[in-house]
Amino acid sequence: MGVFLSELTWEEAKRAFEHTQTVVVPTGSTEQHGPHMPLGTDWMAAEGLARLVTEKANVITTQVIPVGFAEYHMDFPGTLSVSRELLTNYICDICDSLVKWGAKRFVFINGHGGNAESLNQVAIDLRRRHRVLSAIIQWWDIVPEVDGYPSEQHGGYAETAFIANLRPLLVKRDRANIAMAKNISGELVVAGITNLYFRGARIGTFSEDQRCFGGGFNG
Amino acid sequence: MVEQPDARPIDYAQATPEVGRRIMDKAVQIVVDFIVEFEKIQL
Repeated sequence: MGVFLSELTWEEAKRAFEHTQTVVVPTGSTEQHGPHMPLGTDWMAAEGLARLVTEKANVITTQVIPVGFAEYHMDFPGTLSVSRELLTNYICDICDSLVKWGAKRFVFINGHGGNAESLNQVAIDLRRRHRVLSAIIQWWDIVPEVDGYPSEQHGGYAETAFIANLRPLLVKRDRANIAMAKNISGELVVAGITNLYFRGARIGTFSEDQRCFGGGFNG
Repeated sequence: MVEQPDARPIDYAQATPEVGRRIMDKAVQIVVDFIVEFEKIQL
Protein backbone atom coordinates (compact mmCIF):
# COMPACT_ATOMS: atom_id res chain seq x y z
CA MET A 1 0.00 0.00 0.00
CA GLY A 2 1.28 3.46 -0.91
CA VAL A 3 0.98 6.90 0.61
CA PHE A 4 -0.21 10.33 -0.43
CA LEU A 5 2.58 12.86 -0.21
CA SER A 6 0.42 15.75 0.92
CA GLU A 7 -0.91 13.75 3.86
CA LEU A 8 2.58 13.10 5.28
CA THR A 9 4.74 15.13 7.63
CA TRP A 10 8.27 15.80 6.42
CA GLU A 11 9.57 13.07 8.73
CA GLU A 12 7.07 10.60 7.30
CA ALA A 13 8.00 11.68 3.79
CA LYS A 14 11.66 11.02 4.52
CA ARG A 15 10.81 7.50 5.65
CA ALA A 16 8.48 6.94 2.71
CA PHE A 17 11.24 7.69 0.20
CA GLU A 18 13.46 5.18 2.03
CA HIS A 19 10.89 2.50 1.27
CA THR A 20 10.00 3.35 -2.32
CA GLN A 21 11.41 5.51 -5.07
CA THR A 22 8.39 5.24 -7.35
CA VAL A 23 6.18 8.32 -7.49
CA VAL A 24 2.75 8.57 -9.08
CA VAL A 25 1.83 11.99 -10.48
CA PRO A 26 -1.80 12.34 -11.65
CA THR A 27 -2.37 15.01 -14.30
CA GLY A 28 -5.66 16.33 -15.59
CA SER A 29 -7.49 19.28 -17.01
CA THR A 30 -10.34 21.66 -16.25
CA GLU A 31 -12.34 21.88 -19.46
CA GLN A 32 -15.72 21.40 -21.01
CA HIS A 33 -16.97 17.84 -21.38
CA GLY A 34 -20.31 18.48 -22.99
CA PRO A 35 -23.49 19.59 -21.20
CA HIS A 36 -23.64 16.47 -19.05
CA MET A 37 -20.19 16.23 -17.48
CA PRO A 38 -18.28 18.42 -14.99
CA LEU A 39 -15.39 20.63 -16.04
CA GLY A 40 -13.15 18.66 -13.71
CA THR A 41 -13.76 15.35 -15.47
CA ASP A 42 -10.15 14.78 -16.53
CA TRP A 43 -8.50 15.55 -13.23
CA MET A 44 -11.20 13.63 -11.35
CA ALA A 45 -10.52 10.59 -13.51
CA ALA A 46 -6.74 10.80 -13.04
CA GLU A 47 -7.04 11.40 -9.32
CA GLY A 48 -9.57 8.62 -8.87
CA LEU A 49 -7.42 6.09 -10.68
CA ALA A 50 -4.28 7.23 -8.83
CA ARG A 51 -6.05 6.93 -5.49
CA LEU A 52 -7.05 3.31 -6.08
CA VAL A 53 -3.59 2.45 -7.45
CA THR A 54 -2.05 3.94 -4.31
CA GLU A 55 -4.18 1.64 -2.16
CA LYS A 56 -2.62 -1.39 -3.89
CA ALA A 57 0.91 -0.39 -4.90
CA ASN A 58 3.99 0.64 -2.94
CA VAL A 59 4.20 4.18 -4.32
CA ILE A 60 4.19 7.79 -3.21
CA THR A 61 1.42 9.75 -4.91
CA THR A 62 1.36 13.50 -5.33
CA GLN A 63 -1.61 15.81 -5.60
CA VAL A 64 -3.29 15.90 -8.98
CA ILE A 65 -2.25 18.65 -11.40
CA PRO A 66 -5.72 19.99 -12.23
CA VAL A 67 -5.09 22.32 -15.19
CA GLY A 68 -3.41 21.37 -18.45
CA PHE A 69 -3.18 22.45 -22.06
CA ALA A 70 -6.78 22.82 -23.26
CA GLU A 71 -6.59 25.79 -25.61
CA TYR A 72 -8.90 24.12 -28.13
CA HIS A 73 -11.73 24.02 -25.57
CA MET A 74 -11.56 27.72 -24.76
CA ASP A 75 -14.79 28.48 -26.61
CA PHE A 76 -16.62 26.97 -23.64
CA PRO A 77 -17.13 28.93 -20.39
CA GLY A 78 -15.24 27.66 -17.39
CA THR A 79 -12.45 25.98 -19.32
CA LEU A 80 -8.94 26.71 -18.02
CA SER A 81 -5.75 26.31 -20.01
CA VAL A 82 -2.04 26.86 -19.58
CA SER A 83 0.56 26.83 -22.32
CA ARG A 84 2.41 23.63 -23.13
CA GLU A 85 5.69 25.29 -22.17
CA LEU A 86 4.39 26.31 -18.75
CA LEU A 87 2.87 22.90 -18.12
CA THR A 88 6.10 21.14 -19.12
CA ASN A 89 8.25 23.37 -16.92
CA TYR A 90 5.83 23.16 -13.99
CA ILE A 91 5.80 19.36 -14.00
CA CYS A 92 9.57 19.26 -14.50
CA ASP A 93 10.10 21.50 -11.48
CA ILE A 94 7.83 19.35 -9.32
CA CYS A 95 9.70 16.24 -10.41
CA ASP A 96 13.05 17.90 -9.75
CA SER A 97 11.89 18.38 -6.16
CA LEU A 98 10.84 14.75 -5.94
CA VAL A 99 14.18 13.58 -7.34
CA LYS A 100 15.90 15.57 -4.61
CA TRP A 101 14.00 13.54 -2.01
CA GLY A 102 14.73 10.22 -3.66
CA ALA A 103 12.36 9.58 -6.57
CA LYS A 104 13.84 7.40 -9.29
CA ARG A 105 10.75 6.34 -11.22
CA PHE A 106 7.74 8.39 -12.20
CA VAL A 107 4.35 7.08 -13.23
CA PHE A 108 2.24 9.85 -14.74
CA ILE A 109 -1.44 8.93 -14.66
CA ASN A 110 -2.77 11.31 -17.27
CA GLY A 111 -6.46 12.12 -17.63
CA HIS A 112 -6.19 14.56 -20.54
CA GLY A 113 -4.83 13.89 -24.00
CA GLY A 114 -3.74 17.51 -24.41
CA ASN A 115 -1.11 16.96 -21.72
CA ALA A 116 0.59 14.11 -23.53
CA GLU A 117 3.06 16.22 -25.48
CA SER A 118 4.22 17.99 -22.31
CA LEU A 119 4.53 14.71 -20.43
CA ASN A 120 6.62 13.19 -23.21
CA GLN A 121 8.93 16.18 -23.00
CA VAL A 122 9.07 15.88 -19.20
CA ALA A 123 10.01 12.20 -19.47
CA ILE A 124 12.82 12.97 -21.91
CA ASP A 125 14.09 15.86 -19.84
CA LEU A 126 14.06 13.94 -16.55
CA ARG A 127 15.90 11.05 -18.14
CA ARG A 128 18.53 13.32 -19.63
CA ARG A 129 19.15 15.33 -16.48
CA HIS A 130 18.61 12.75 -13.69
CA ARG A 131 18.74 9.31 -15.38
CA VAL A 132 15.33 8.52 -13.86
CA LEU A 133 12.60 6.58 -15.67
CA SER A 134 9.10 7.76 -16.50
CA ALA A 135 5.94 6.01 -17.65
CA ILE A 136 2.90 7.81 -19.02
CA ILE A 137 -0.40 5.97 -18.53
CA GLN A 138 -3.82 6.97 -19.85
CA TRP A 139 -6.88 4.98 -18.83
CA TRP A 140 -8.38 5.05 -22.32
CA ASP A 141 -5.23 3.39 -23.68
CA ILE A 142 -5.53 0.63 -21.08
CA VAL A 143 -9.21 0.05 -21.84
CA PRO A 144 -9.47 1.28 -25.44
CA GLU A 145 -13.04 0.12 -26.00
CA VAL A 146 -16.04 -0.30 -23.71
CA ASP A 147 -19.22 -2.01 -24.90
CA GLY A 148 -18.27 -1.22 -28.49
CA TYR A 149 -17.53 2.48 -27.93
CA PRO A 150 -14.00 3.90 -28.25
CA SER A 151 -12.87 5.04 -24.82
CA GLU A 152 -11.08 8.10 -26.14
CA GLN A 153 -14.35 9.77 -27.15
CA HIS A 154 -14.44 13.12 -25.37
CA GLY A 155 -17.51 13.13 -23.12
CA GLY A 156 -18.48 9.81 -24.66
CA TYR A 157 -19.81 6.55 -23.27
CA ALA A 158 -16.73 5.30 -21.45
CA GLU A 159 -15.75 8.65 -19.96
CA THR A 160 -19.31 9.28 -18.81
CA ALA A 161 -19.42 5.88 -17.12
CA PHE A 162 -15.98 6.45 -15.61
CA ILE A 163 -17.10 9.69 -13.93
CA ALA A 164 -20.53 8.26 -13.08
CA ASN A 165 -18.64 5.74 -10.96
CA LEU A 166 -16.42 8.32 -9.28
CA ARG A 167 -18.82 11.25 -8.93
CA PRO A 168 -22.36 10.01 -9.69
CA LEU A 169 -24.05 13.24 -8.62
CA LEU A 170 -22.04 15.30 -11.13
CA VAL A 171 -23.16 13.42 -14.25
CA LYS A 172 -26.31 14.74 -15.92
CA ARG A 173 -27.06 11.88 -18.27
CA ASP A 174 -30.37 13.45 -19.31
CA ARG A 175 -28.37 16.35 -20.84
CA ALA A 176 -26.24 14.06 -23.00
CA ASN A 177 -27.04 13.44 -26.61
CA ILE A 178 -25.54 11.89 -29.69
CA ALA A 179 -22.15 13.11 -30.89
CA MET A 180 -22.62 14.93 -34.15
CA ALA A 181 -19.93 16.59 -36.21
CA LYS A 182 -20.21 19.38 -38.73
CA ASN A 183 -19.39 19.10 -42.39
CA ILE A 184 -16.79 21.68 -43.35
CA SER A 185 -17.53 21.18 -47.02
CA GLY A 186 -18.95 18.53 -49.27
CA GLU A 187 -15.91 16.34 -48.91
CA LEU A 188 -14.30 17.49 -45.63
CA VAL A 189 -15.86 15.82 -42.61
CA VAL A 190 -14.78 16.53 -39.04
CA ALA A 191 -13.39 13.52 -37.19
CA GLY A 192 -12.10 15.41 -34.13
CA ILE A 193 -10.29 18.58 -33.22
CA THR A 194 -7.08 17.27 -34.73
CA ASN A 195 -8.46 15.20 -37.59
CA LEU A 196 -10.84 15.31 -40.51
CA TYR A 197 -11.84 12.89 -43.21
CA PHE A 198 -11.29 13.47 -46.91
CA ARG A 199 -12.69 10.74 -49.16
CA GLY A 200 -12.44 8.30 -46.27
CA ALA A 201 -8.82 9.15 -45.43
CA ARG A 202 -8.01 10.57 -41.99
CA ILE A 203 -6.04 13.81 -42.31
CA GLY A 204 -4.34 15.62 -39.42
CA THR A 205 -5.48 19.21 -38.85
CA PHE A 206 -6.59 21.45 -35.99
CA SER A 207 -9.65 23.47 -35.07
CA GLU A 208 -11.35 24.62 -31.89
CA ASP A 209 -14.00 22.13 -30.90
CA GLN A 210 -16.83 24.68 -30.94
CA ARG A 211 -16.31 24.86 -34.70
CA CYS A 212 -16.30 21.09 -34.97
CA PHE A 213 -18.97 20.09 -32.50
CA GLY A 214 -21.83 22.11 -31.14
CA GLY A 215 -22.22 20.76 -27.65
CA GLY A 216 -18.72 19.79 -26.62
CA PHE A 217 -18.64 16.13 -27.62
CA ASN A 218 -16.04 14.80 -29.94
CA GLY A 219 -14.30 11.59 -30.72
CA MET B 1 -24.40 18.28 -39.74
CA VAL B 2 -23.26 14.77 -40.36
CA GLU B 3 -22.60 12.00 -37.97
CA GLN B 4 -18.96 11.21 -37.35
CA PRO B 5 -17.85 8.54 -39.81
CA ASP B 6 -16.33 6.42 -37.06
CA ALA B 7 -18.95 7.03 -34.40
CA ARG B 8 -22.27 5.39 -33.64
CA PRO B 9 -25.04 6.89 -31.56
CA ILE B 10 -24.22 6.67 -27.88
CA ASP B 11 -26.71 5.16 -25.49
CA TYR B 12 -25.83 7.27 -22.46
CA ALA B 13 -28.47 5.56 -20.35
CA GLN B 14 -26.17 2.55 -20.34
CA ALA B 15 -23.12 4.56 -19.24
CA THR B 16 -23.74 3.62 -15.62
CA PRO B 17 -21.53 3.69 -12.52
CA GLU B 18 -21.30 -0.08 -12.79
CA VAL B 19 -19.77 0.21 -16.26
CA GLY B 20 -17.40 2.81 -14.88
CA ARG B 21 -16.44 0.52 -12.03
CA ARG B 22 -15.60 -2.21 -14.55
CA ILE B 23 -13.32 0.18 -16.45
CA MET B 24 -11.70 1.37 -13.24
CA ASP B 25 -11.08 -2.13 -11.89
CA LYS B 26 -9.36 -3.17 -15.09
CA ALA B 27 -7.30 0.02 -15.27
CA VAL B 28 -6.22 -0.17 -11.63
CA GLN B 29 -5.09 -3.79 -11.92
CA ILE B 30 -3.07 -3.14 -15.06
CA VAL B 31 -1.38 -0.07 -13.58
CA VAL B 32 -0.57 -1.91 -10.34
CA ASP B 33 0.86 -4.89 -12.25
CA PHE B 34 2.76 -2.55 -14.56
CA ILE B 35 4.42 -0.75 -11.65
CA VAL B 36 5.82 -4.06 -10.38
CA GLU B 37 7.44 -4.70 -13.77
CA PHE B 38 8.46 -1.06 -14.20
CA GLU B 39 10.47 -1.25 -10.98
CA LYS B 40 12.48 -4.13 -12.42
CA ILE B 41 13.83 -1.99 -15.26
CA GLN B 42 17.39 -0.89 -14.61
CA LEU B 43 17.86 2.85 -14.34
